[in-house]
Amino acid sequence: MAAGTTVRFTLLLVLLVVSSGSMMQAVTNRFYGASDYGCLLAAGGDPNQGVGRATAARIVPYFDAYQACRDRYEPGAPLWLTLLWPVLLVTVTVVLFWCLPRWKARRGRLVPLEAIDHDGEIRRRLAEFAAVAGLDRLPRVVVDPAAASTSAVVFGSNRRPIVCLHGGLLARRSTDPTAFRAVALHEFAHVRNGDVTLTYATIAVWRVFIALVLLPYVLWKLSEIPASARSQWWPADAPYATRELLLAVVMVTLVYLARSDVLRNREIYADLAAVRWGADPRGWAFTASDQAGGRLRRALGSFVELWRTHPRWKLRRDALADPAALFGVQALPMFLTGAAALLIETQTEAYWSLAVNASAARTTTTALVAAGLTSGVAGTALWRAVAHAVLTGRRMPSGVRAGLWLGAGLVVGELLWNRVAIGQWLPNHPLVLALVLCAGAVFGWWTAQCAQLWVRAWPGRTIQPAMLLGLSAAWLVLTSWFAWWSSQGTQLTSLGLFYGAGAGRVVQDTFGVFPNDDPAMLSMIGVVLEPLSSLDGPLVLSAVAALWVVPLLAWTLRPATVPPRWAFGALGGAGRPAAPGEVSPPLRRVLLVALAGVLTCWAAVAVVMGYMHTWQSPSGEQKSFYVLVYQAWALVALVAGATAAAIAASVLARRYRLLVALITAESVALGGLVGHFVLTAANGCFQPLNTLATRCQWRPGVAWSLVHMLLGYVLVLTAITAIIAAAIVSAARRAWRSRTESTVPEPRSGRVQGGLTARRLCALALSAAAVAATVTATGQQSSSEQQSSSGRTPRIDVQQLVPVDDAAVPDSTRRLQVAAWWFRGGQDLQDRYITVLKRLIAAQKDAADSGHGDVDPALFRPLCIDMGQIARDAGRYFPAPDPEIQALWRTFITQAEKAGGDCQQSLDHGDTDLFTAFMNEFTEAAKALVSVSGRVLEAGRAAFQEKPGGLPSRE
Amino acid sequence: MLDVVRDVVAGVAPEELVLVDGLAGLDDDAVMRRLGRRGGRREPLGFGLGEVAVLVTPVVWLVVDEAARRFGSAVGEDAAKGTKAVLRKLLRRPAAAVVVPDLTREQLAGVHQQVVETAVKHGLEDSRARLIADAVAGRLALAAAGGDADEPDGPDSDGTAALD
Repeated sequence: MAAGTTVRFTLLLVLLVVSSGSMMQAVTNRFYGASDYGCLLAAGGDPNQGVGRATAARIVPYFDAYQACRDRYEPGAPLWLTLLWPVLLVTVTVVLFWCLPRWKARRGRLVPLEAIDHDGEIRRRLAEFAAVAGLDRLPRVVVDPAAASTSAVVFGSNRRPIVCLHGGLLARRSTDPTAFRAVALHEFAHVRNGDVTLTYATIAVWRVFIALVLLPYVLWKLSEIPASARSQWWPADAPYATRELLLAVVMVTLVYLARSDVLRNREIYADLAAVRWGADPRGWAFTASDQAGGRLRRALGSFVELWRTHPRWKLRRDALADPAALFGVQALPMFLTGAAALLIETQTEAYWSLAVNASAARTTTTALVAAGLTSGVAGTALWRAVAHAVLTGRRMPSGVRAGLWLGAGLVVGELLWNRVAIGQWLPNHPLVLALVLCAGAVFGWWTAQCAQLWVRAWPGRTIQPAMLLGLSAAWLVLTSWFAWWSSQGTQLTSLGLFYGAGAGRVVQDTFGVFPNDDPAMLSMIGVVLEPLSSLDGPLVLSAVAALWVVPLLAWTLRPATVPPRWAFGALGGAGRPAAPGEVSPPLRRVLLVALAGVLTCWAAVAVVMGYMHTWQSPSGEQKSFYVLVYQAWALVALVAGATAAAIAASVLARRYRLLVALITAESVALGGLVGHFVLTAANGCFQPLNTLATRCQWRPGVAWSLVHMLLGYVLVLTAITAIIAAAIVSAARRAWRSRTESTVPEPRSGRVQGGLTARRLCALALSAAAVAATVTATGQQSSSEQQSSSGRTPRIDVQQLVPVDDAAVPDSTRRLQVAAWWFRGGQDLQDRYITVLKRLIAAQKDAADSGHGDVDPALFRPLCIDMGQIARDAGRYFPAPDPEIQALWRTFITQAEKAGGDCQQSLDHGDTDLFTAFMNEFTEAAKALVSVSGRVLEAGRAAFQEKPGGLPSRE
Repeated sequence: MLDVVRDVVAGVAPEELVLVDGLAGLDDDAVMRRLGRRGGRREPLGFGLGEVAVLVTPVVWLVVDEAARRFGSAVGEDAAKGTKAVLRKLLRRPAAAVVVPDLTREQLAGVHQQVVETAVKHGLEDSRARLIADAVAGRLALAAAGGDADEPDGPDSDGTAALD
């Protein structure tokens, strides 16, 4: 089986390359004003109240103005400068990688083997070992005569490896040929396993990263702290500064620990290969200074061990007899993978934000990268652990613990980045982060169960196709998680759910105003709809389909009753595989439970219809709010029916509770939707169930549109509730088992009940239905997206949804807000107005000078247009942060707008009265503007007396 | 000096002759620096920090080199210091060969004592350490008596092989 270490090295390399750009971006941004708070203050935000919250409340309604302000005053480092660092990192790494072996093997430090092996005897023996190891030719061999250790090392690259024998080993070769053979074969195993390039590439990139990125980054960030600590924005800056420095510490720890862990695994692989090629295990018999002593000493030893590139000798010796250590799922790699994946995801997104504006494409791409690496590392580890447990008959890993560690890594990675708590120590809703832990646990649980099912069923020559299928599904599931989390989850963590009244408004904006609505019901639908609306995207729907179709396909295989062919090679030659011992649980039972569930769903939908019938208006004419409530209850009924079936199925299942729950629940959901369709289409035919119609008629079109609307939500919500149900049942069974202390009955082995053909047909039919439903639901989703993008965009007052405490803004901050508002755009508008004013005076003077006093329309018309434009621009700019100034500003906008309109009309119609009105409005606008600038100057003077030195910045 | 080391090692630990050949190909200063270093380095893709072999060659090399430097001409010292040394390193030129001068009886006794101490410090047993010290002192005394320090046929003629 694939060792999965290559993808772990790749994860580290990607992390370093991605981090190089984003970390240096944090440094270079300083020179491009991106860390200033000017535009945020101008919009009326208070950085000390938490940048995320302030941003949402103040900036979202004026996002265009904010973007224009940022682009002009705080643009941040350009893309080319940010991309320069990864390019530089890769280039210097390539150079260092090329130089490293030359430097190591330089003259005066090492000598070629030929220089001391006069009779060629050592070379002959090494060539013999190389042939045993399956190498095409003997690699270049050098000697370090000054090294007394009985060891050797390989460096260079996979194509040009250089094996260096230590003096101690050479001196011992005749007295201890066993050790000589073991060491030589171990080194050749590294060459054969292709460890050399990846190991030294990782070392090279890490060294270059330290020199080019980490050191400048840390020094720069440290140097910024003193000035930042004196700033008024220190409460907002302190979390930034701390995270930035913590990021450096975590990067060092993460890279060292992950690299050492991978290298330790590679060592055991090399040991195993050497022994397989005939090395005597006694070659590992020396050095018995393994951990001993008290608990504290052992704990310290284990901690030190984490940082070493070689495992303890005892572990290595034990691994030769039983390589279980290579197949275990350990907490540390899982945790590190989670943290690294999240750092890659957030940092890649930071790059994309410089280049692409489309946030959906950006989110999906970054999620694909992060999820690919995570499922590659964590998924492979779980598959290996499961395969090992199946083949050796050991305890099966549940995957939950591993998943929780992965989730913990994701949480730590998230808290290291300024995404869920911007300018704050903790997010406003930290409990939402528990979702990440749950997602990790579900990923681990599902992957382990899916792996177990496939490993037990797979009859092929190699397990790779099954593993590839399972990991691809895991990749899809994780991608949808990452995409959802980065777009919705993070928002939920920092801002929370929408508030009731505001959420009701969102529903009204989306579906139209309902005359007879119930505000409480409307708010509830709004609150639920917001997080729900992000769940029926194509990515989530495909992930849900993968969650139950991929395990379902395992039932199409003929169960293996003898050890399959792939099992003999999977353990790396250590141990003989046991028979699979268990067949997949009978599909018939799952289907029977599902059938009962479908009937329950139909009954539940009928109950909903009966309930809604009591509301039905006598005329039979239904309001859209009634239909909305009907649909909401139908959704609840379908999901509840499916969840009940999931509970029943997982209670009855002895193994694979999660998979069985998912398959049952989703099948029931599809069957339930069919019932919903039939009952709705035949609406009006059953008196107590009449809801949408009073006359009996077959209406498939209406029914289909209603079912279509619910399809995605039902599928996704059912999957979520089925997972929760399976988790609760599993936990309860576990608790019950531990109380009664009875053992789980061993699953039956041998013959499967029921015919293979029938099973295959059922599994394929359900899979086809799942795919069809997903495609249909995806189509519904994209068409509704098109409708909403082509239709009106609801303008929602975000402050209703995310309230901020406006009264809590201190006066000093308010004055700075006013100053920022003025200097980031207000003054610019004033200057433009003054220019128009000057041109107007000049034009009037020209008219007076011409003698007849008539205005020239060609001269005045551009002025009218400009004035209207200034008024419109001022309307789009942020409202003034001070209420009095805002009142004056409003007057200016109104008067300027009127002046622009009247000016044009007076010229068009030659209306002198209108022209006089225009002049009056123009003057009024100017007066208001003068008052605005006067008030701003007052506030500004006070602000600058408090804090001289211009506009505040984040540093 | 190299011949003295080679002769002694050939006598007491012939399996280490390959190391002497290897060290001969290296720069003197580099050899001294690296032989003086204790313990090994943890290298990725190495076999791991296993046993450190108790070797005779470093003991003999270190003591003979020190004796040559202490009792020999100032040429050797000059070669290892100052701007010349820096230039030499930059140009990757080997240092001038260290020549062992004829030693007096007292000096030989001192060298003997030094070998025993160094050998014990390097983990060799006392009896083995004395054997090596005898071989070194004998080889140096022979060189002083016969003036054949530069001739490579020492091991068979000086009788140290019999001590092995």
